[in-house]
Amino acid sequence: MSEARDTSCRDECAPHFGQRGPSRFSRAELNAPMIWNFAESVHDANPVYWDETYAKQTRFGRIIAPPHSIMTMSGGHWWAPDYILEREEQEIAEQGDDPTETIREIVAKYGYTTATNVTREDEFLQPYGPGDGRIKQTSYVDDVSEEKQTAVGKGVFIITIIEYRREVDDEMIARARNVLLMYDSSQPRES
Amino acid sequence: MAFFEDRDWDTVFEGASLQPLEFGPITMTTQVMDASGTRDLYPIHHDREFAKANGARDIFLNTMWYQGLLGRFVNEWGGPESFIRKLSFDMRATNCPGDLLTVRGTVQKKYEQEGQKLVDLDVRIDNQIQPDTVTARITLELV
Repeated sequence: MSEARDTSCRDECAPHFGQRGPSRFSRAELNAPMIWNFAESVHDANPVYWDETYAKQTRFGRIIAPPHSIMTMSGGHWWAPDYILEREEQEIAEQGDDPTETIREIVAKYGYTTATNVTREDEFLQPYGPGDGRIKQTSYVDDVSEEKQTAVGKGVFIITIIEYRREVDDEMIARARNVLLMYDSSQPRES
Repeated sequence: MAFFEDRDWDTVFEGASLQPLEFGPITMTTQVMDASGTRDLYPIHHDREFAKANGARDIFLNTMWYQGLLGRFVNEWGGPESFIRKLSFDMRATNCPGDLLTVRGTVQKKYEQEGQKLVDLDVRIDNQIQPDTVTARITLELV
């Protein structure tokens, strides 16, 4: 039996809800080869990805990236020289605290340190393609559930909104809603 | 040629089935094109020993590859100017080298919202072992 607490985990997290953390940029500016590599992997023949002449007379007016390739197109490095990685880390640090990290720390204080992703829903707002520059990614925690008993242990669900913008005009092109379960794996549900 | 034709909104009805799509069988080359096309170098998708040591049947296709295949499937039905507005999916079982995939879909709902002609699609990826390895909910805008 846990002792009664004045404030819940959710109450402690609440002041940080809706606060955007630092922005991160994709590794490269959007370009046609990135789009072709993605389309190639699933044999996608859609001419708006491949055929500039065709794409120009569509409502998009140009070659676009598959909207659903946002995770791929916004990706970072798998390897880069240390001086590049250090420079990027410094640029992120200069933007101040990351409220998402703060919430992870609060949640960890309650013993919820094991992560498992539950759901991701993507919304695509605007087309994007070569000429739009890099993709900027910013996120915030929208809500944290009250503590719940789940099959894998007691924990909380963290709902994060990730916003993607094109560098050229800062227009939001996509938004994702992610539900992450953070739980205490040392105490599975009693049978 | 089908790739160059947009689907006429007026002919779409709820309950309609999309033309099924077969992909595969998956090969090592499919896995290499997946890693390269989606830039996902996590070893579970290209290193068989690593995958098996982590409890997987074999190396398997990744999240972003499914995004690509689901997109291809609905855009081939909707036409080149159709545009995915919403996408969410669950991965319930892995798809590995040797597996043959079949993508199926049905129109759940047809409606207009804020000037957009939309359809909600239920899309599933089966393999030769079991149905519903991936189940997706997709909102597609037609022209």
